[in-house]
Amino acid sequence: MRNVAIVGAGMTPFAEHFALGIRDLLPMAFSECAASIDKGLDLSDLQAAWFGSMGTTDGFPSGILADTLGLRDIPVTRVENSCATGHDAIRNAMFGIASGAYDVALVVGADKLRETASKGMLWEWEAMSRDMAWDYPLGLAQAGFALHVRRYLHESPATREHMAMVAVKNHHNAMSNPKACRRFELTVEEALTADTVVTPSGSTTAHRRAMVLLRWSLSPRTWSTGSPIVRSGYVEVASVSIPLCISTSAT
Amino acid sequence: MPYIASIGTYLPCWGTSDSRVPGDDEDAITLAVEAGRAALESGGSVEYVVLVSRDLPLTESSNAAVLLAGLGLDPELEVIERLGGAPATLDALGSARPRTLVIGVDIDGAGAAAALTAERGLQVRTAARVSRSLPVRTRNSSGDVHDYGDPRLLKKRGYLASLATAWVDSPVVVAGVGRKDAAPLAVGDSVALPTTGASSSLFALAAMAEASTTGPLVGIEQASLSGITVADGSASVLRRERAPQPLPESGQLATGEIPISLAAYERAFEAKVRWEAGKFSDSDELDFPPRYRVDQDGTLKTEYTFVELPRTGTVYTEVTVHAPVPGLKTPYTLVIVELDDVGVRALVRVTGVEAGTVDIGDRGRLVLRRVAVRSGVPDYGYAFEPGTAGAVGTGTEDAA
Repeated sequence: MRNVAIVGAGMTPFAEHFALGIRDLLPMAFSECAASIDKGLDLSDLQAAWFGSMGTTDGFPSGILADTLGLRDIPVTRVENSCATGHDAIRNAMFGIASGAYDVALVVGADKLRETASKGMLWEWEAMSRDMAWDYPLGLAQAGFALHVRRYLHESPATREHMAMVAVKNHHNAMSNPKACRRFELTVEEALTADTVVTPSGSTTAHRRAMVLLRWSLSPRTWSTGSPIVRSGYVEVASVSIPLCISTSAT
Repeated sequence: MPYIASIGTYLPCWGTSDSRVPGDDEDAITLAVEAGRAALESGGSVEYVVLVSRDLPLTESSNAAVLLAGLGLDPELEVIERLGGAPATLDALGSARPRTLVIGVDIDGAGAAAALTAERGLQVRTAARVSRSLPVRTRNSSGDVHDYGDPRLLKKRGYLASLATAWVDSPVVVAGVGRKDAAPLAVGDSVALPTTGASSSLFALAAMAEASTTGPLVGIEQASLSGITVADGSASVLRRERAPQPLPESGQLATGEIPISLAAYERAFEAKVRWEAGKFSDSDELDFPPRYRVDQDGTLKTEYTFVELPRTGTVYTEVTVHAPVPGLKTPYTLVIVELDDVGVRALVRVTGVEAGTVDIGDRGRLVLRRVAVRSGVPDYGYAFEPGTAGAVGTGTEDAA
């Protein structure tokens, strides 16, 4: 297999973006990506594209990407793999290039949740991600990950404080990222006393009521769009943060 | 002349000792299933089911399939959904063939009681019937209630006049009127019944069976009544009546509801309401929910059979949702329950306790509840009720 490198990247800010449709956000992210490439880019350099997208805002995602970027003559493939969707899109493009099938490929991730009213958004999102008969009516909502965390806290030496430290780290990282959505520092104490969304109740070491909350950073906000470009060359390891975070409900 | 083999009762754990209220996840059908299962605990067989209530969740479409599935009975059984109060339940009992499960259910002053008839047991026979019209309270087909507002008229020209007409001069227990009014009408020791509607006459019968009291039992609804004579014999009584506690405070968003897919509802129904897994003949593993599988070599396997799942288990993990969720009352607790001895874990909501009070390792039972109301459709499934107690009974074994 050939080595593969990321040669450019761009993204829009993480925000609700009421004023911008997915057809606006995709060119914005792509344009920034193209501008980041040392020697520039011509659209005709692109031989294939992978589009990570959970939902189908405004239509079939592959067609939307092809249409908005004018990529009418190359294969565009939509990838969905829950919270690992973006990673999986990168992996697929990497295989395309490593195998020798392509030399240059585009990877894009985009979703837009705030196209529907906030009151209906939860069930719309849940409808996409739950079994309609078995899980959907239970109101799993933000609790899916919390169920895992609760068991993890039970089985491991980890404590609520450790979970809070993840949130503190995430918020700290956001401070140096102008495109992050929640750019404020958080202390462990603040994370532990924040408003409760979903309780993993009682830690394993002490039977206090936990005040930490777990929520998908997906919830009321738009995923940003990001579009790294992949080109053959040397190996470079990039870490992309998946939007699972522990945070307060403050904004 | 019918004989009663067993009686089961159920009271929601919410409200006060004077008047229970159903939980958010309960309706007349889940109450009926609890009482019916209690009556069937001693193992009698059922050929007919009569459900008596004025609070049926659906008046168009049927409640019968959910009732049979929840009771674990054959879907081929005849179910009569009968509108009525305390007299209607006694009427149903008086004319019942053997192996009939008669269930009375009430929501306002909530409770349910069920009696199973058989070839032997506690003997009852119809003693009196009077239908008279004094509609002091009415509810029409769209649910509008009108209350005339004259309890003294109801008493004097209603049930007292009917009791005189029917020549039932010395009932041992009277069901269907408030405790204060019932006590002076009965010659026996006053029995405090928890309900005043369709279930009340079976609660009365349960009390008589437990105390081995014989004599007339009268059920009253407005100016109509029905009386049976309770004779010799014994019936087992199993009560699922936990101590009442105040319904916890909860919040609900004014807007938003949960849509339903009836295609998914129909596919899942049997497993979801009967609490069953799928099992292939060549495997010991249970699939929950049941579904097609493939062999190691890719051969499609579709011929699974339904296998009953255990109704007891242990909490594997739990969370409590506090954030508002449209269409649901919060807070609520979700658990993954490890079912006993089958290697199956199920995601269910917690019922019968305040949210946030279960912990990993807690034991409990799986009970039929109304999980949600979606697009006007009551959506039934199982919930986890912590604790192992909850049933008190005088089994046939004890009585014999």
